[in-house]
Amino acid sequence: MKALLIKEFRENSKWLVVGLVLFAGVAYCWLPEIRFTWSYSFVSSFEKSLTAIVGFLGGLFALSLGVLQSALDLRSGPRAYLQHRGVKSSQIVLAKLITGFTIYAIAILIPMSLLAVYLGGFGIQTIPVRPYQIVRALAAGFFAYIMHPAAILCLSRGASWWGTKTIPIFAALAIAGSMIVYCTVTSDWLWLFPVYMLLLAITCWAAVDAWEKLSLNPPAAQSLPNGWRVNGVLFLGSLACTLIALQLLSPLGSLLHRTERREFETKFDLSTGEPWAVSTRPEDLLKSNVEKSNGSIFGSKIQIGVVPNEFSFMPKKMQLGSMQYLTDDPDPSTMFQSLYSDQYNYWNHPIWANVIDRRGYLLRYSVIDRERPRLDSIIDKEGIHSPNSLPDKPFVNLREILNGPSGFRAYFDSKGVYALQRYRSNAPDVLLNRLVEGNVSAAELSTIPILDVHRLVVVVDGEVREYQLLDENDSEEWTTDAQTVTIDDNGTKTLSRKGEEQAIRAKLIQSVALPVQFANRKPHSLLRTQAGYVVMVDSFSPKYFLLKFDGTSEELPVPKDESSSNALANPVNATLPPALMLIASFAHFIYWANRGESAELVEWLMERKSILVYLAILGIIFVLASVWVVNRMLRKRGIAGKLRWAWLLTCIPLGIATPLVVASIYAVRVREKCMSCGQPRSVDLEHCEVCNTQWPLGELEGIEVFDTNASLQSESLLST
Amino acid sequence: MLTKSDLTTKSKHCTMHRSTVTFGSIMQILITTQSTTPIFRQIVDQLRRQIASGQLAVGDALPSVRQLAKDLVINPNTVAKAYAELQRDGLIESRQGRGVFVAKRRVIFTKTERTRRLDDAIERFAAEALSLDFSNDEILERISSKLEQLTHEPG
Amino acid sequence: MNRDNVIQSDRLTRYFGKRVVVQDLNFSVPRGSIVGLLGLNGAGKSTAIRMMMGFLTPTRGRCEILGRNSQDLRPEDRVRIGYAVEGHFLYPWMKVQDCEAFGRDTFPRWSREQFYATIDRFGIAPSQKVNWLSRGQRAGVSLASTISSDPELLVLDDPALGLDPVSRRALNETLLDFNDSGARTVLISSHMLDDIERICDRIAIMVAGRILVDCKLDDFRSRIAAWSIESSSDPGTYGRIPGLIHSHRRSHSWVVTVANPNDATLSALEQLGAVSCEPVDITFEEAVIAYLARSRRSDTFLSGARAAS
Repeated sequence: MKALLIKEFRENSKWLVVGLVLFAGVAYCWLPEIRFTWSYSFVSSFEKSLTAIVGFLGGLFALSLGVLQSALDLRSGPRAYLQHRGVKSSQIVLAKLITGFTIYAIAILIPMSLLAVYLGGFGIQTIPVRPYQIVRALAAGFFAYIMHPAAILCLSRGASWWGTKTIPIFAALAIAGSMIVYCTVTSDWLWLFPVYMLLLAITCWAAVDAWEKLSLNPPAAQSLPNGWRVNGVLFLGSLACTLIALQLLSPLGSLLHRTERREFETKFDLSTGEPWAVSTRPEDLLKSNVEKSNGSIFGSKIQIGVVPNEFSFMPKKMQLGSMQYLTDDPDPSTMFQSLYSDQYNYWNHPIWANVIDRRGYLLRYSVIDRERPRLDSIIDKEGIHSPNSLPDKPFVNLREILNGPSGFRAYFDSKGVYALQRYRSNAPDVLLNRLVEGNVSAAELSTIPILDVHRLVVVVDGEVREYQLLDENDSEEWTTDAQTVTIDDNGTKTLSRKGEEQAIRAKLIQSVALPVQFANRKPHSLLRTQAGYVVMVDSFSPKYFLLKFDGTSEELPVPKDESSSNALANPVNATLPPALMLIASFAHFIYWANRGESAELVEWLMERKSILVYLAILGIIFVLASVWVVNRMLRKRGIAGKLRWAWLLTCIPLGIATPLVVASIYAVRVREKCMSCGQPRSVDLEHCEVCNTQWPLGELEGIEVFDTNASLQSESLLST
Repeated sequence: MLTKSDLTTKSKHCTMHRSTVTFGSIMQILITTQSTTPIFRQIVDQLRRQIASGQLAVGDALPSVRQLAKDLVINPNTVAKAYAELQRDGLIESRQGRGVFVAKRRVIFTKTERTRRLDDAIERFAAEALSLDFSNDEILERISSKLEQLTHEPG
Repeated sequence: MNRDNVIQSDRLTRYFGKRVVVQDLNFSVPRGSIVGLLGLNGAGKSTAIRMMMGFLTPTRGRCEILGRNSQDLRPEDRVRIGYAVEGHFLYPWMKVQDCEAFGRDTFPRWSREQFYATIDRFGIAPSQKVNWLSRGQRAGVSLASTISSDPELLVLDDPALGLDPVSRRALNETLLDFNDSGARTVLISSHMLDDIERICDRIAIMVAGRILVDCKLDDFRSRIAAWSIESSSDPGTYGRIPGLIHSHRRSHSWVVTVANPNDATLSALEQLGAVSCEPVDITFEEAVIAYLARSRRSDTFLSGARAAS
C-alpha cells in the first residue's frame, strides 16, 4: 500500500502545484484591496462569491484530478503493470482517493488559510470581513471533492460513452452543486455534512467496485453486474440527474416567499401621486417594455414636479409597473443571510458606510479612503461605542429602513425603531435615537408628496401606527440639505452640511389595529395614503391590501404576474415525475386537513388552471413516450415477461427518468441467429432462450494441426 | 551454401540468425534459423560430420544438453532431441552422472538398414551434385579424394 | 482439465459488439514448456491473453490458469504469474532502482539479485531514469520486473517488439534461463519467427479468432508439406486438395502448402493434371506464413456468425 501511495503521489505532485497556483490566484483576487475596487457591495458578497468560486473551481480541479489519475492507469499497458501484482484493486483505488484528497485539500487549505491569516491581521478595524468567513468556502471546497471519486467511477465503468458512462459525473455534479448553492445562500448548512459523507462514501465504494470489475470494460454483450450497490448508485444518480436537469431547483426557489426578498415594493409616483407597486428584480429592470414612472429615483434629490392640487390617492385601479430601483448594492439577492457578514451595505455615501453585522451590531466605517475603510464606531442599542471592543447590547434582527430621505439613517429591530442623528451640524458625534419602542415587526418611511413630509409607519404591538417625525423645534418641516463633499488639493475630502439636522423624535398621530388575518402574515412595504395604509403581505405572489383607518381592510386588485406564470408554463415542468406530484398533492391534503385552508401556492396554481391542464396533457404525452422508448430498450436488452411489465409500469410514476434508469442498469444484448431454431439468441448465454440448445462446436477447417494422442516422449538426456 | 564462420554475424537483409559455439579448438556448431532443415537436424548433421571426420574422437566429452542449449540460445528440448537421435544411432553415449561422450562405433544397424541409410544419403548427395553440371567421373573422383582425406584409407 | 496444463481454456469466446474476435478457443499450455503464440495483428491473440489473465471477461466459455478460474484471480494467484503487455510499460518518472523497489514492495516473493542480474544482461545501470532508456533497455527492465517475482508461469505479449538484435538475444537468453529446462513455463506471443523457432518447444497459431495449430514445434514442421505446381491459375481454386492451407504464386508456378498430407492429398494433386508437381522443402517461416496469409484472403475473416452449414 505504501508503494502505491508513493507512486500516486509522485505521479500527481505536479497537479498539487497547479492547484496551489489556482487557489492562490483566487485568494489573491479576493484580497480586500483588490476585491473592494470591483464593487461597492464588498462585504455582503465577499463570502458568498468566495464560497461559490472555491466550490466551482474546486469541482473542476477535483474532476480533472480524478480523470488524470484514472485515465492514465486504465490503458492496457499501465493497467496490467499496476493490477497484476500482489495488491488488491481496492488498495489501488484507495491509494488514488487518499492521494487525490490530500492534494486537493492542500491546494485549497494553504491559500485559503493564508487569506484568513491576512484578513485576521487587518481585523475588523479596517474591513468588516472576518477570517472565519473563509470557513464556508472551505466547506464548499469539501462538498466539491465528490467529483474526484465520481470521475474515477465514470472512467472505470463498463458502459459506453454514448450510453450511460457519464452518469456518475452528473450525479456528483447534482450533489455537489446543490450542496454548494445551499451553503452559499443559507446559514444552516451544517446538517449537509452527514448527508454528504454518506454520499461520498457510496461514491468511493462504487469506484472501488468498478475497478474490481474492470474486466467487464468494455461490456461483453452482457448486462452490468446485478450487484445492488452499483445499480443503487446508478438509480439514485439517474434520479438526481433527472431532477436537477428538470430544473426542479428553480421552481423550488421560486416557491419561497419572494416578497420577503424585497422584490416587490410600493412607492408613490411623485409627479402624479399614484401609488405604484414595483418590482426590483434585475430581470424585470432589464425589460424594455416596462412602464416607468416619472417619479423619483431613489437615492438622489427628490424632484417635485407637477403635482395636481387635488388628486385622489386611491385610484380604483392600481397602475403597476416597474421603476428604476437604483441602489449601490448590485447584489439584490440578499435574501439569504450569511452567517457572519452583513445584510445590506450601501456605500453610496462619500464618507460613511454603515454595515449591519449579523451578530446584531451596526458598524460604522469611514470610507473617505475608498480602498481602506476604517472602522469608526460600533453601535448597539445603547448607543455609539468606540471600535475597540464589542458592546453588550446587540440588536436583534436589525434591518435598515430604506425609503427615507437622503442622509436620514433609520433602522428597526425587533424591539424598536432607531435613527442615527446629529444635533448640531458640525458635531462629529453621532447619536442613536430610539424613536419607537415595542415589538416591531415592520417599519417604513412614507413620504407624503403633497405635504412633503415624511411619516414613520410602523407595525408594532399588533397595530399599525403612524408617527410624525419632529425636529428639536417640534416641527415636521425639517429637511436635510444635500450634503456636499469638497475635495481639496491634497485629495482630502470634507463633508459640509447646511441647514438643520434631522428629526429627533417621533410623535404618534394615529393608529389602526392590525386585523387578525395579518397577524402572522408579516406585512411590510407600508405606504401611507389618504385612504389608508397600503400594505403588502408575505405571500407567494404580491398581494396588496388597503388597511383603512376605520380598521377594515380590502384586497386591492393586482394584475397577474406574468413572469411567474411564464415560468409555470415552461413545458419542461411537464417532465417532472408524476410520483412527485402525487406526493406533493398528498402532503397538501394533509396540510389542508390540518389548517382548514389551502396553501397559498395551491391557490395561486388554481388561478392558473389552463396552464395546469396544458401541463397535465404534456405530462401524459411524456409518460406515453417514455413507455414506448422503455419498451424498445427492454426488448433490445432482453428483458421480458413480468420484469418488463414492471418497468413499463414504472414509467408512470417516474416519467421520463425511466429510460435513463433502464439504460444505466441494463446493457444492450448482442444476438445471433440460433442454428437450431433460427431465432435470435444472446451470445453470452450458454443456452438458447427459445430452444435451449447449446452452441454448436465449430467445424474444423481441415488444416488443423493438433497434438496427436501419442504421449510426449520424455527426453532423458535433458537431465545430463 | 552455408559458410563456416566462428563469429556471430548480423545481416540486415536476411532474417537468419546464426549461432556458433566453439569447444576447445575443435568443435564448432553452427545453426541457422529460417532454414528448410529443422534446428535439431542441423545439430545432428554437424555432430555426425564431426564424429565421422575425426574432429570429435571416441571418448571426447560433448557439452551437456543444458550447456549447449544455453550457448546456442535455443530450447534445450531441441538439443535433447538431437542427442537422442545420435544416441539411438549409437554415435554417442551417456554415462551416468558424468555426461555425454562420443561412443565407440558400434554397428547397431542391420546391413539392410545401413544400406538403406547409405542409399538415402547418396540420393540427397547425387541430386545436388548432378545439378552442378559435372560429369559422373569428375564426381566420383572428388568423392574418392574426400573419403581418403576423411578416413585416411586409400582408394 | 489436465492437471499438467498451467493454462487451459475451454471454448473461450469473446465478442466486441457484434464481431467475434476470439472463437471457441481450446488452448492449453503444458507445464514447463515454452509456447509461442502466433497470429496476425487482429487475430485475437492479445484478446485471448487478456482473457486468460483475467483482464477481460469472456462472452462465453472459461479459462483456467494455474488451476484457478481466470476471472477469479486473487492477488495471491497473480503473484505466481509474470505478465507483461506489449510496449514494455514502466512509470516514466521512475529510475530503474525505483522500479525494483516498487516490485519489491508489491510482491511477496522478490529476488533483488535476479532483478539486477537481468538488468546487467541488458546493459542497464540502476540509476538511469526510465524515460531515458532505449526501447531495448526498457524491455530489459520490464522483463526484470516480471521475472524477479519468482513466478511459475511467464506470459509475455509481444516482448520483442521494436527490439534491437542485441536486446533480442538477451531476451532469449533470459527466457531460456527462466524456463530452466522445463522448471517453469513461458507463453509468448510474438511475430519474431526466428526467436520462436529457437526457443519454443510448442507453437500455436491463431487465425481469425480460432486456434488452428497447437502442437510441438517439430511436429508442426513434420506435418506441413509443400508442392510446386506449374500452372497458369491457382490450383487451390480449381482443384480440391484436402488439407490445403494456402497457395501462393511464384514466377511460373504455384506453391501449395498442405497440412497432414496423406494419400488423398497425393491423388488430388495427381488429378490436377498439371505439367509438373514437385515436392519442395519449406522453412518454418513459410509454414507459418501459409496459415497467416490464409486469413488475409479468406472470406470468413473476422466474420461473426458461422456460415450456414
